[in-house]
Amino acid sequence: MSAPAVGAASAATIPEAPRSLWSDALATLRHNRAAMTAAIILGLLVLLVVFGPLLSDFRYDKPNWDEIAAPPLTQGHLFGTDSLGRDLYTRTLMGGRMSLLVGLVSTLVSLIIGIAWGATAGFLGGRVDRVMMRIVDLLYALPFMFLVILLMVLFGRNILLIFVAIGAINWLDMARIVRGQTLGLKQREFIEAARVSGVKPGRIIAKHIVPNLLGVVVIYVTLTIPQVILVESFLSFLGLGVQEPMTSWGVMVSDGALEMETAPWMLLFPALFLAITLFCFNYLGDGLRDALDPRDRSGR
Amino acid sequence: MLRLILRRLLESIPTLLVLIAVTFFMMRMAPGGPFDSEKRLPAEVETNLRAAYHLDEPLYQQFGRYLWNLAQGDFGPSFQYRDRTVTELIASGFPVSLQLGGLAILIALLIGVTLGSLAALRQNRPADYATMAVAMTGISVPNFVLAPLLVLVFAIYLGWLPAGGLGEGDGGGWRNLVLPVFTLALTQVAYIARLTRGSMIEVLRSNYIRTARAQGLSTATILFRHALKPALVPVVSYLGPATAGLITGSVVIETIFGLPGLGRYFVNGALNRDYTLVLGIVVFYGALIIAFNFLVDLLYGWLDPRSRE
Amino acid sequence: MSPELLEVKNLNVSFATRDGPVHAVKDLSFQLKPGEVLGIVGESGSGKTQAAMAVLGLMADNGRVSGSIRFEGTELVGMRDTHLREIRGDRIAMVFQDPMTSLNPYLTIGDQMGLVLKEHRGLRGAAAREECTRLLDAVHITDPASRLRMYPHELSGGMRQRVMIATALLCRPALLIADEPTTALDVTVQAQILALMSELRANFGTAILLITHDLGVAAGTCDRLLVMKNGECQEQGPVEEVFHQPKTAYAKKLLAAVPRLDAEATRPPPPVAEPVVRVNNLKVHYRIPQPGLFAPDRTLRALDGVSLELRPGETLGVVGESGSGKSTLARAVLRLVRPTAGRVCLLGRELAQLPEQDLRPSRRDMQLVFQDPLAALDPRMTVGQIIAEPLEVFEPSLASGDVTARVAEAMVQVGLDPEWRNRYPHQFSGGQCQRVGIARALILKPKLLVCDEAVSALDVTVQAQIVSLLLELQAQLKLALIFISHDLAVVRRLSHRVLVMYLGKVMELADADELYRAPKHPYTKALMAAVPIPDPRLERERVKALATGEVPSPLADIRGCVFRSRCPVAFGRCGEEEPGLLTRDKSGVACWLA
Repeated sequence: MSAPAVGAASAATIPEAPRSLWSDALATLRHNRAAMTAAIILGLLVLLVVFGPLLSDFRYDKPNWDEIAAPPLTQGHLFGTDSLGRDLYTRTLMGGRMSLLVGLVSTLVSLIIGIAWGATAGFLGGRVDRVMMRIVDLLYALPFMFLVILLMVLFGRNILLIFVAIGAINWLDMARIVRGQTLGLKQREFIEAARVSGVKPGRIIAKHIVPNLLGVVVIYVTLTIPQVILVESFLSFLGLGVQEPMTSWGVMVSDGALEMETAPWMLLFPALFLAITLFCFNYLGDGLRDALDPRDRSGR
Repeated sequence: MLRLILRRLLESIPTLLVLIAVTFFMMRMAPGGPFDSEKRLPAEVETNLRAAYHLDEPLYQQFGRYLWNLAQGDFGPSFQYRDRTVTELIASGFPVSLQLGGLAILIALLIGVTLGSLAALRQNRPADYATMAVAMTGISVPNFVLAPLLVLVFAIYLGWLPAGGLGEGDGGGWRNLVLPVFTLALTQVAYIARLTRGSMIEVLRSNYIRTARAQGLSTATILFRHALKPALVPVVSYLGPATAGLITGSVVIETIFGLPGLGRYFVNGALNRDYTLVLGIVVFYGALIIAFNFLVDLLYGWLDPRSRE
Repeated sequence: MSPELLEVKNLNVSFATRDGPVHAVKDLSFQLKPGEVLGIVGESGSGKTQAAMAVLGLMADNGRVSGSIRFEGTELVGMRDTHLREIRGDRIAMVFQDPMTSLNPYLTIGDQMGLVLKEHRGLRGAAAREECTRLLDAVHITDPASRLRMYPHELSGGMRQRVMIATALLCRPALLIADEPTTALDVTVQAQILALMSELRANFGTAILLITHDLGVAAGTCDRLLVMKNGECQEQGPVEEVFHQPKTAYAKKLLAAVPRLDAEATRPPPPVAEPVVRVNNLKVHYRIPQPGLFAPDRTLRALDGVSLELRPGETLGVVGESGSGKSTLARAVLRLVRPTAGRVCLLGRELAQLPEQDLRPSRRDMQLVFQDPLAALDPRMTVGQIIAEPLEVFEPSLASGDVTARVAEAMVQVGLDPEWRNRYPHQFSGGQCQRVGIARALILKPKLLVCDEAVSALDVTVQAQIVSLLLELQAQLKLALIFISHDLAVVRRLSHRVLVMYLGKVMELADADELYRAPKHPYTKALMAAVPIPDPRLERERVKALATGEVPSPLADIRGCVFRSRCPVAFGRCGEEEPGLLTRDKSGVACWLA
């Protein structure tokens, strides 16, 4: 044990309180007004969608033949009713539950497949990587949407199938991105340093690679959710989505479009909710991307 | 060059085969058949029909037969439109979809790149925020929401444009394309604008643009001679997925606007279990996408001198 | 009309950031006469680049300039951008540090040069090409006509910088601003470019504002010198005066910290003992598949037969330029790369071909310090966690309290306050990050430490501190040290013996004193000649036998001596037979003329 060595580093900058990259990113995000507004709106939306139907006077699936296609604010129906007299407000919120659920679950599916595939290919490198990415390229060339439509048509509108099928469309992007990031990380000096220190590959992946991947993953999850919701709406629009009486925004838009001239509110409200949700997710995703920009590792 | 094409061809065959196989076996293994939607046919008529369409043979034999015909350009007969072959249907439907999609991508590129570049040049100023808000709308509002709205406004309330159909040919037809093309293009305009903006911002921050500024070049010169090519690289890479998006979008657009294109044929075919039609369209589009990706790769090679061997 | 070409008075440059205004340049004043060379010297953060960018009005959007910049009598501060554009590239031109990224990879050289001529002189087509060819000739680029059709990535680093200089001179500017023009280049190429700049200055009469952190470069090229720190001018004057009679404390400190090639640094030889590491004929070859259906694979000989031996407490300096294989040597010895052939013997244990799990226990005895201090640390971990990691691998049974104590001990040993162990790497400066890297490397008390360009990315004053730290740690721990660097001056201070590498092979191996006093190999001589000495009198009197051309591709199959293509004294036999390392009592030269 000796005294501090020559030129003890007390000169120049004395570091302040500990400040991880995550807290830096959060600070940057907080300054992004668009993203913060989007986050707040989304939060409110989720609350509304979860608790709204419980607090509503009406049920979403109960037809009321006396009140068919009533305009908004008649007889206690905030948004009016649909062509079967069901309360539009409650249905819109229930539709929201389904759309958000699909968004989350399908994104989770594509996340799991994508990360597993991409990280393995990126970390193992060499031939394994080449083969795995070849398969991805192959699958990229297929018109996935058509296959999903086919699946839905042929095997019925099973809710689980929807989750998996939609997830299967997006995992390719996630795999590509994760693989790219892993490849880049593998060459960073601190990974070499870990190898020199004798750290085993499993621990390198767990403690060094995965935490540094999280940023990119978070960004893409936030940007994938709206895409997934869009796909589900699209399928519902074609009549291939969730089954009655369950509903989603896509189904409601599809039905609403038919009644557009006589009862525009049937199209308007679900479309509005859908658009706002997608809007917010995209703005939030953009904000996260700016905040977690992987190139800006130096902090300040 | 020739070697490149040959190699590409060889590489695409497995992809196509996988595509065909997956679609083929999916259709055959699903419950229900092509004759279910009609009123019940007498048993022997159905048996005869099945034999005529070779549906009674073992699956792998049917597959082999299909491949053999395919190699000769024969997609088989349609089950739905009894008197027409799938080849005919594709031949009639494709030009419609091509016109729609081709115009849409051109417009999307032109408007998208211009808007994105504009936003990048005026970064963080009102013009940027406004443009990007519009782009965000294009991404967040699905085209099956937008289309009816546009029809409502322009065709029904204002009466400027027809609500659908192909029009009576001879010049009057272009009016019918305006709304469908515009609706189809809008989503891609949004993506391309965002992509161009991000890419252009990054290019404008690069060292060689700093050099160009230090050389006293005018803004126009810097933008068009130095910045545009590198900024377009991600856009070119995006063209592949963009086409896929257009093909998907065409399904909705053709249905809403009543245009007899491949997208509409596909949906109807799927709902009616028209095996051969559905299979034919999937294979056709698959081959198209592969060919298109190849062209895009060539374009990419021309754009970026470092990627040439 | 003042005789000054450029007159800067009370220049202030600040940037508006989220954390408040940052003052990059404070109250700077200086003058430049026509044809004169003024050097602006400073470490990172001194504001020298910002001052130069302000002259041309090229700061970022959030930059604010106040004060006066008069060029040829006209006031530049506050001038409209459209007027400034006429001056940029025409009367004042600029050359930047990194020629690879400063040239547009998507345009040919001819296109890029042509755009400048079109903008300022209205020249196009054949007339423009002719003018470009003339300038390319002036910067000694061979075959200029075909170069015009090439893209930047097809040229070597030195050639790219020549192209940048040629482009800058197209309109015969009165002032050339060069921002670290040679920092990204190999030292032999740097010498060529500096000689070129002096020649051009004589031929074209251009005044040069040279920005550099390298005092040796400043000593050799500049008439007057300005020393900056934290945005302020510390000292200014004729170059000889600043170097030999510095007035301010900072200038004195800077000059004292600069490592000199001709310094008298003798290290007493280490005690005789069993070698810690023995390397025998180590080779690392890579197979590179070639494009085309039938082209055979080519071999990249990154390391082609290196042998060395090191005792405890001894330092071996390894010098070489890009492509010399010195980094590969580091990685091969540490088994980050599996050698193709040869032996590596650490503490009596043969390591070269061991499988990874058998190798792992030996890792605690050999460690590495990296070139980029920040990149070597995981940005998501605290420095305490980073330093503790090797402990957790090799002594997993340690109680957490003991781990913390050991980490604190390691931090104190490298001059860091243990209180800082919960901070993250990006909160530290470059020098502090490097101390963290050293603490991590030494926490298990290894016997061998390899430093791969460990101080190259640091400021001169910080560099001196880290070198002193390494010397002290070596004495304490009896470390065998392999110090790899392209900077001959730094290597001199640390090394007992020096190994000179070129294209994967050893050119010369000798005791440090002997190598620096009397180098034997032509390459070593060329290297020494190329390194600028921070002493204006000496530097200008030196006769330099510079190596010509640039380092050939390591893919090339070279017959005979690998240095032949650039050697000033090569003769017949050099092209036929490869000279092996002719050793005579522990030193060796790979040359037929030795």
